[in-house]
Amino acid sequence: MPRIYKVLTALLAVTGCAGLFITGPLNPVMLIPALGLIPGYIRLWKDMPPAQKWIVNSLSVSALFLFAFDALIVTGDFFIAVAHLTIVFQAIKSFDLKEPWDHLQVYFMSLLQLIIASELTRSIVFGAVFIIFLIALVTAMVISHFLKEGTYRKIKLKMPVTVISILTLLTTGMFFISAPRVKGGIVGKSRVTGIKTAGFSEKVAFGSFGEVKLDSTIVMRVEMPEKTPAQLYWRGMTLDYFDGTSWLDTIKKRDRVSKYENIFVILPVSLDNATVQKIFIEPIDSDVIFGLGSIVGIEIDLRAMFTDGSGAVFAPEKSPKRLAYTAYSVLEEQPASDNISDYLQFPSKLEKIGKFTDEITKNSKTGIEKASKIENYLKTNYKYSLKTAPPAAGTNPIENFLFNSKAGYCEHYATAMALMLRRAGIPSRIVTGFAGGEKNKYGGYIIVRQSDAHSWVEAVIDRRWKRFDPTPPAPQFKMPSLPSLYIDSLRLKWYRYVVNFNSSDQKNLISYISMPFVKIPKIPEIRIDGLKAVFYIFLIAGFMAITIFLLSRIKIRRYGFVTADYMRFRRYLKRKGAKITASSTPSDIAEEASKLGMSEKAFEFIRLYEMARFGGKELSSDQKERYKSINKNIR
Amino acid sequence: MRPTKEGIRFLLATLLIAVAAFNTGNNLIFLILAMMLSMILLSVVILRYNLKSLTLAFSVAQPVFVKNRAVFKVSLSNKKKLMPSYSIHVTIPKGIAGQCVVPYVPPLSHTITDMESTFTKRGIYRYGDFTFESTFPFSLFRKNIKAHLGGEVIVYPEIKEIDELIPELTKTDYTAHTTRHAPGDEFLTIREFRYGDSVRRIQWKTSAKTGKLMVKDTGTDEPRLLTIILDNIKPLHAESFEKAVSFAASLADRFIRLGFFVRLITCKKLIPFGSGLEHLFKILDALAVIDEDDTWECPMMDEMHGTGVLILKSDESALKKAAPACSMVVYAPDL
Repeated sequence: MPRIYKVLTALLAVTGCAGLFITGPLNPVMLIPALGLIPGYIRLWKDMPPAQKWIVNSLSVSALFLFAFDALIVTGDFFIAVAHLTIVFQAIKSFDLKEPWDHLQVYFMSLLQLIIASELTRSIVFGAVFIIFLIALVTAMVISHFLKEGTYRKIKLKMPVTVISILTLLTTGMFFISAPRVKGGIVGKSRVTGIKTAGFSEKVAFGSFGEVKLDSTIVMRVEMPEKTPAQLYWRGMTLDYFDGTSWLDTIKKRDRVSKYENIFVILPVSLDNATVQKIFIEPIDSDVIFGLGSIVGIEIDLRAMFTDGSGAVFAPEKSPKRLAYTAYSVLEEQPASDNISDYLQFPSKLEKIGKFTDEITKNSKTGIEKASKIENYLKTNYKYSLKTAPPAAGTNPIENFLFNSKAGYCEHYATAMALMLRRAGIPSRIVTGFAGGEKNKYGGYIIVRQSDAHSWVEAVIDRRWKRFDPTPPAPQFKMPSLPSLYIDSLRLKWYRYVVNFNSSDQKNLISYISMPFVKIPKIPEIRIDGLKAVFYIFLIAGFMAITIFLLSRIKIRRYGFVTADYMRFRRYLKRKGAKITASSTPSDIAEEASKLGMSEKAFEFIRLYEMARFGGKELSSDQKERYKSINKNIR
Repeated sequence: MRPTKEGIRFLLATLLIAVAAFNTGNNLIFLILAMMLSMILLSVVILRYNLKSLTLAFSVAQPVFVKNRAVFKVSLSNKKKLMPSYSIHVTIPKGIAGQCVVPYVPPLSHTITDMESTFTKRGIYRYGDFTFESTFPFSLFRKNIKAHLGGEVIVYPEIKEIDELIPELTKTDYTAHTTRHAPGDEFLTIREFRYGDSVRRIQWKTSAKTGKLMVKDTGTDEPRLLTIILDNIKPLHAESFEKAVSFAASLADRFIRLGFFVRLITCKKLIPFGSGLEHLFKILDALAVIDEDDTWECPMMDEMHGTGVLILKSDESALKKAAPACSMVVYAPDL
């Protein structure tokens, strides 16, 4: 067996395991068996004999017990346990590689590992692993073909392998682009876990922003085709009720948004002057949709959208995968509704804040003057700090911030200002979202990180919701390096063109290619609901087909391997066009086989069959091997 | 085009991945599905193109004898301008029942490969239908193209070592003379060295000039004659008849190579006395296609010159009456 073939098998096994390894959620202890691949493939490299059958079988049975233990106790997750099991089997198989079929089993197992990995990660590293896998698989299968033919040494493989690999890559891209997409899948759910965020739930405990402000994980990437506004406030949701320690969103009613053509219309205004943002958001643990200012329209590949009347927009559920959408926003202040008295709610036992507010705003007459004074006061007299000591027992955290520590982060400032505004008779609310972001010069998009999580205040001034941000500027964190920015631009492309590629992209692509020559007919969207029934029918039909197939095998197995192989051979000849009836004797079979040009082997096969069936004694082990070998090779 | 065993597994795996992709809507599974589909597509396209514009030529390098390994020269030409052809199985399913694999044929070129076959019966075999088959590049699908090839190959009866069969033949009575002619000192010709020639007869000067071993042929003009009478008159005795034919061919081969003039007499066919390889193949041609006949129509034993060997199928053969005129009678069942 050529060494390159061994190397490719090892590479494919390692690629499959690496595909799983990069996903993250696997248990490190359960990954230890992967180390078995090293001695396994070193043995293969050195042409050492495969491990004994009983050892391989014992290890395989042990792996199944380990799998049950893993699925029930260690990880408690069947899917992850299957991933661990494939790694164990890869390691065992590396000690048991004899025939080309054994190598093919490794390829299939690696393929299974990649499929499992694709459900656990969306990382760009998967793309790299996939390309390595594809090239290695194509090369190995071409070599396997020549090995099977016995012509490996007579062929210069570089040219066919290179050409076929390139063609496979190109056609893979073609199929990937053209395969019809089902919006949101049918019944499956992704297992990718979302980023843990703060501030985007119905109840936000005071102090929850502290942790995320230190986290540089990327949450969003935003492309803005037009001019980028000077201030970037990526609005998420609003919180209207403060109970002394937590903010709550008490607007429970969410209205479904109407959709016209491809756009969910949140506010009935013209989109011509709207600020357009193409947003790619990572899976997060919230259903909030972010955008600048007030989102008035949104183009998104979801079945429905909701809004709560405060300008916050919600997806139907937390998205397990990256969302890509185009938000149309107006940056002007939005009018407040008539019913704004809820935004004057003030918790009891915080009267000290009232007196404090009065002092600061004593000379101010209008709402805007009062609000600006409070904002300026907080911005200039307090320090930005993520290190806040917990307040003394019995002290309210806001009072502690305002009167004792005088240092805090956005949450402290926004809460203090909102409460002070309310005390001054100005309806106000907290807005959570992200502020700012860094522009990536490789790709020209904006990166928004967890550390950009922010909360600010909206207050009703002259019957319009006006934004105030009392938080003083935060110290700049370490700027990302240029290579990391470049890699991130690649990541965006990966998400944009691979992970989030959808039916809309297909339509756009077709339009782009064919315009202006052909008018493309409207391509119907394939929706999940109608396909569920079809899916279940296929599932049941598939299950029945597999059951019938297995039952037929069991029926054949009843006869023992000699007769079973003979019957298979009969069926094979019949398929080839030989005249075989129920009454055909072994001699007839041999004759029919010779007509098909397989006389020598067929005669030997039939002779051994007759010897076993009618000879009155069992075949010797050599004869059995020969019988099996002829049966395998003759077809 | 049909999927192979591996191909069926691959197709099933693709189907399952397709279900998974549509079920989850996960683009990374669509990516894997696209890879599987592209491998299937390329298997089909490359396989079709691989077998396109191929032509076959067949030739036999040496005479073909029953039960002897026959080597055919298979010349496969690829008329495609760019793409080479790989792993082409050439099969002739009927008659010749030969098969060979041509690993590589460059574009606008040809490759010659040996194809071995062993025949169990003498006769004329037409090339007929042959098949190009390939599973290149991934062994997922098998495609074959059938085409007709004109021409034929004649398979001669099996040549056996007659010394072992009839030891008497090697005795001096029959094989004392290893030259074409009776012994004598008269110079006849200079010819190529043949098996059995004395080394002392080699003409070294002429050999050096021609590059071949040449011997001086001397003797008288009286040739040594051998008549082979083959009993092919019915009733049918298939097994004995084949033995008789094979023995007749072996006899002709042996004695012509010894320089004898040999003739063959059968029911309806007479090959007159002659010598040399050309004459040997005249006899072998006749023996390759000979059948059992109803009547004896050949004028025989009118003048039995030289040695006569009668080969009978059985003790009850109608031809037994000719035995007294022959130097030797051989019964095929004893062979």
